[in-house]
Amino acid sequence: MQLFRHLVVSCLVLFSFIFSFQTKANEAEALFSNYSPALVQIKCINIESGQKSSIGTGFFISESGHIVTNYHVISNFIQSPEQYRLELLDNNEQTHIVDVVDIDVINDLAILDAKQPWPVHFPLASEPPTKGQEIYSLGNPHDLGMIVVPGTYNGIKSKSFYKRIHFTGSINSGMSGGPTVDEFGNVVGINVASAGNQIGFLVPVDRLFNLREQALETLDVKKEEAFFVERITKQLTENQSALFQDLIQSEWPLYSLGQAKVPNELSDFMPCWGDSNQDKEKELYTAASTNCALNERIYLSSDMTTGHAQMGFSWIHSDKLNELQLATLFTQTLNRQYSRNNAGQDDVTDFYCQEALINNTLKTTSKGISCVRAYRKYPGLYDVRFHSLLLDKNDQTLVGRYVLQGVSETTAQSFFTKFVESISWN
Amino acid sequence: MELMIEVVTRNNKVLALHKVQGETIRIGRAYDNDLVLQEEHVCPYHAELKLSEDGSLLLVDSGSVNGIKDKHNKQLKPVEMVTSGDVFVFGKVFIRVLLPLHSVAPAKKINVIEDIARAANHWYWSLLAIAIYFLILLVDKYYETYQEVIWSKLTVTAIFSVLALFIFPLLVSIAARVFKKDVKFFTIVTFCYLLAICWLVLAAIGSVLLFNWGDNVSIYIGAELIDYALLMIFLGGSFYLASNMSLQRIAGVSTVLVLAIASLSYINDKGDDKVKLFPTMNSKVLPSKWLLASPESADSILVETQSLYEKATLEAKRRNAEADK
Repeated sequence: MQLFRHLVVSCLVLFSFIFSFQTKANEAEALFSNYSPALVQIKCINIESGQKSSIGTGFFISESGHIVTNYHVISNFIQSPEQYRLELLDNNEQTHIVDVVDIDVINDLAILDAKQPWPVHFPLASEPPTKGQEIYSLGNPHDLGMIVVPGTYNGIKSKSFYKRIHFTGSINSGMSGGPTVDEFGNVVGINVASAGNQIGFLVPVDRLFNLREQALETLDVKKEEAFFVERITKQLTENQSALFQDLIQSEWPLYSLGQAKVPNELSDFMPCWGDSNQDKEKELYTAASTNCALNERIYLSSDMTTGHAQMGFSWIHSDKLNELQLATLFTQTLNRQYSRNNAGQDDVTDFYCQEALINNTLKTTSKGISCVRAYRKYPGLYDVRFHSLLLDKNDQTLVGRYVLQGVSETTAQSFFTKFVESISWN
Repeated sequence: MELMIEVVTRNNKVLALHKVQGETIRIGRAYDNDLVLQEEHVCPYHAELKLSEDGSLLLVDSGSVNGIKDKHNKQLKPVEMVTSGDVFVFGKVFIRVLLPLHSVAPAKKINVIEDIARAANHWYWSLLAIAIYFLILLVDKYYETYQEVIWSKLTVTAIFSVLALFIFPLLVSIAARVFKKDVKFFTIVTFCYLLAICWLVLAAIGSVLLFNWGDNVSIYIGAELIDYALLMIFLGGSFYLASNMSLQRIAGVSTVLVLAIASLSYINDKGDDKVKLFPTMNSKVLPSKWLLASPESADSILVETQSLYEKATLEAKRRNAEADK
């Protein structure tokens, strides 16, 4: 009897699983068939070669023909409008020329205009989904055709300055700019990035509301290159100000690295990692280092990203090397190249550097080198590098370095003061 | 009649001097001539020097194949009047005819440089200079190592550096041979290694200045000037030891060469105006007891670094303006 009962329960569970799977499959199928006319492929075409230089997905959000995609899908056009044109390929394989209405480089969004009414469009969700809710990402991965990828909403990504939805599902190249919708077809996010196996990131739909409002203000303005350059400059300037304002004004947590006291994680979104040379044989000195970096960057073009910040410290000590040998080691460590370059030859100027001996209020003396280069297209924004080395002790030193990308002079100078005044000996 | 006949080079350098006597002085390739010139373009009996009835000296061509030319390569007549000091070309040989009372320049006093050059031409000075250079290199390499010191490796590296520098005295010595100058080999070796020692010592002083005032442009300009001054001394010394040029000419040629090298170096450094994507940092760190300059507060550094933003902004504008053309 008990065996019979087990058998019945097992059958019921299996049936409900098959049924729910079938239901989900039906939901996805219905979603796709309902909204496929509003889902398009966006192509950035190189005029000279006549071939596509980048592709992505886009979706209609209004009957008046407004389409949403990622900024990075159309960045070539924004950066060099004379060399590219934008096309959309609808579900009937028809090609239409589209214009750009507005962009948001911080959230990697763009609104395009198909210049004709479009009967079907996606509704935008007014509320975020609940954690664990099934959502569906739509797009055209690797130019293989439109697909639906079911996945789970996992809330807002933690340890991140830029608000991104953590989506457990596969987002592949070409799906960028596509919508992720709930079971009713309401857009909850826009596909933007992937971090490998079943980890995808979406821009929350509320970011699109802001861009849509902003776009409405300039709907009648003829958009030329200068308009977008000004837009990007304003967005980058405001973003760096917001990003660093909290960082600079907050109390920096300090911790001991060797015999020096250095800033620790400045924020959740700037995690730190550490390393040392203790596993290396025959080293005549001890070196311990930490490195803290922002996880995200702002994509501007294939040659240039910005918004990166990185800060690192190396404590070096030796009782086996003499003063002059250590000075050689200190010199090399101080001058060593730090972090990455994220700009192309045509995007920035040369670095201008200045060396100085600095006394901070904590009575430490250091040698510091400040280097600055300007962004050519975006006035008032700079990449800043600073290397410093404590001079007070001959058997040890602390090398501190930071890189700030796309910051204003005011932000850079405030960060400099905070950084210099945060370093001391134990 | 008594005459001096010098066989000279194209540049009037005397190769041989012959004192000849007789009513007629015969010049040619045949061995019974008074002056025998062993050169295939000279005839066996090429010309004669004789006195005319009025007592003037004549050069008479004896019907030679190639005739006689003056020092400007101009063909002379069959009979030509000779003045003491005239140069004639027989075939490819230059000769100068001088009367016994031909005036000579007063003797030159041997200058201090020559005195020093002679005094330094001893093997032990060279050895001492090489030894000092080697020791400084060894000490320098030792202080530049922050890994385990392997003395055999350091020594071999220093020996290689010493040997590499030896190419300069060798070249100067070869040049001295080419320009027929008395080769003072040990002086040349001592001179080259002493200059190298000076360069190392000045580089050490430069390190202290860099450590203290590394951002000061005058240090870089001073270092450049010192480098060029050393180059000038090297070139001047080398010309003196390897050629017969006067001191004034040596100074002139060395200055022109140094200016040429400086100009080429400037053009090369100016490059193609391509942006360097990483800053070049050449900062120098020494033990803090070498710190002579006074550190500044973070606030005053902030004021100073404002100029960096201004310069970068100006460059951005310049590059944009150039791109818009």
